[in-house]
Amino acid sequence: MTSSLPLSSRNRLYAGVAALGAAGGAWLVCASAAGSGSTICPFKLATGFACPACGSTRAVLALFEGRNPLQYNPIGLVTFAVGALALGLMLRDLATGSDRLLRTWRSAEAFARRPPVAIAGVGLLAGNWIWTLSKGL
Amino acid sequence: MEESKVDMFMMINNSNFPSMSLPSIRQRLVSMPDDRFATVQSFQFKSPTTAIIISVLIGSLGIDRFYIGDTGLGIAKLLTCGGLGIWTIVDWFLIMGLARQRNHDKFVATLI
Repeated sequence: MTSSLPLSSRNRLYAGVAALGAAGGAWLVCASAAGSGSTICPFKLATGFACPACGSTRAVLALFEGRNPLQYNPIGLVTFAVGALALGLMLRDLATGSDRLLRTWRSAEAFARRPPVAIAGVGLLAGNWIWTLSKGL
Repeated sequence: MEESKVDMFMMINNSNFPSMSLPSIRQRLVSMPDDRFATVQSFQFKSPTTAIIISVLIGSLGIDRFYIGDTGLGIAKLLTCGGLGIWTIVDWFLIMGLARQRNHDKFVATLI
């Protein structure tokens, strides 16, 4: 059966990772050049409150500039680390012809779907969101 | 399976599948033994209408992706403010088709 599930095939996953990685890199460069103070987050623009990921860019930029990233959103550091790891794995796979990233992606998705993990993840995100809101990001 | 039962099933569920695949689904159901009808009836399909409502309201948190079963992409969307808002808007147009496609995949995978 040819599955049409997203990112089910190696090439589609790698294209997705490459596109997200390129967009993320471009965004970091733009945000760094533009400085802080503006947002394009639709959630924040619509409601006035920070979304669970607001402050991620500022956290990553703070890390690069040697300031304390924890005054912003620590989720940014996780996203950056996972993204960099995925890009690294992808390049390694492309060089060696392996499909390690695809297998890792599938097992990570299965892991995240397990009820205890999902509940813990939602709890962590909610706690972090409250922290974000209390910081007034 | 009886034609009338199949027609009833198709009438109730035709909006849950891609329109292109409706004839092949009907074909499969007609040639299916009667005792498997209970399995078919117990399917929980993801409604495309619910998906688009979730997508418009809280799509920037990735909940629409979680709803149709794309856990990994849901997390990615959640952690990027809905793909900086662009992915959110793209998904408003894609999510109904994706929900139908997932229903079809699940239907086919379970019956094989």
